[in-house]
Amino acid sequence: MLYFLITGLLVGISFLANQQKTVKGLKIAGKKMKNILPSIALMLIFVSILLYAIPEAYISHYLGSSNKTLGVVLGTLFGSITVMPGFIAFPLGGILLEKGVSYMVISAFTTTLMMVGIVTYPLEKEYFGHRVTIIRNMLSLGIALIVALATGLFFGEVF
Amino acid sequence: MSNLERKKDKDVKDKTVKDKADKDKAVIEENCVREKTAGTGKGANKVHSNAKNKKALKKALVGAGVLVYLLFILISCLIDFQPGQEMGLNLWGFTLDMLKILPCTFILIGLFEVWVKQETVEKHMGEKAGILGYVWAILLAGTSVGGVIVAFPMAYTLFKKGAKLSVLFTYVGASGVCRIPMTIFEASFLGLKFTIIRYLVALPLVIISSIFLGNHLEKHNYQMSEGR
Repeated sequence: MLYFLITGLLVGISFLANQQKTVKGLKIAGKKMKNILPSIALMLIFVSILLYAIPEAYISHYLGSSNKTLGVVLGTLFGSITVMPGFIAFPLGGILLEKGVSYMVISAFTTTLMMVGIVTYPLEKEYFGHRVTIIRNMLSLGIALIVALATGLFFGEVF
Repeated sequence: MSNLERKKDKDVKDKTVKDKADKDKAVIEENCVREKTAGTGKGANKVHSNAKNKKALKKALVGAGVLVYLLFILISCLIDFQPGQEMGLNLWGFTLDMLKILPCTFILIGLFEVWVKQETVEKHMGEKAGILGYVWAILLAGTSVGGVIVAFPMAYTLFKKGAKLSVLFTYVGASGVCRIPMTIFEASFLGLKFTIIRYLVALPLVIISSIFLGNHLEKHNYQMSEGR
């Protein structure tokens, strides 16, 4: 809602400052949105199927396994495949924590969730192309794993 | 039931919108291909028409997939098939979320395009920007909403305005790491220590990997695009 207000306010200011520019900006906005709509629709369909296939209960069940390496691997896997808004992901992380899941596993899950996106692939490739999209996501995956490991080290969960 | 009917209506509408968008995109692409063929001469003609066929085939397959999916949801709603209904609800929920973010985002990007001068972006995020370019990228990412869906089109705008590739990849990466609203949420559920570790480890790595990737691609004269 706040987002709407801020946008509206900025459009208003822009309009007062320069009508032509504002109209041009809005036209650009419309064109860009139209171009990318098919990819976004595709992404939404992927997400809707995935969220059904991998429900939250499933995730917390499997991440809760006592084997930490397996937990990290599964956390990475779930996090990479799914996309979840933060307001679902972090409370879920909180629940996992209470259930005794290690910080390392939660870190692997939430970090990949935010940085690696298999379902956003159709969207990302429209801008970056196949090759760069794959490279970028692999790099992000590596970073997420290092972050998870570091989290494990700092919370004394590794050794 | 009325709810379901409304949803069906929406699906149908979605589909028409999508079809139209597909068509438009096809037309645009056709034009691009035509331009390219005109530019590259006869030899390239065959290659391009081949690529075009492949693309059309792929598009048809994707379209068919989408159609099957929508039919599946529709039928699920009619016969009360639960998995299909749940997927439909997921789709509905996420579409609503998108509708909250998408228009505003693109309007802001549009305003950014008309108001922010190319020289400004070049100066702060381009070749000569130095380390400050990465700071700007992270600040921009930190204050943005909506994650990657916002980051990609914004990155394209920055690219067009002359931002350096490594700065641009830092922006995209950082928008996955340090969006402020997201961070506050994270810290309240998982603790500040967790968040600080993530920042301290992830951000430098994002910058370093972006520099490598950006420089590598710059050597190969890589170009971003919008709707390949």
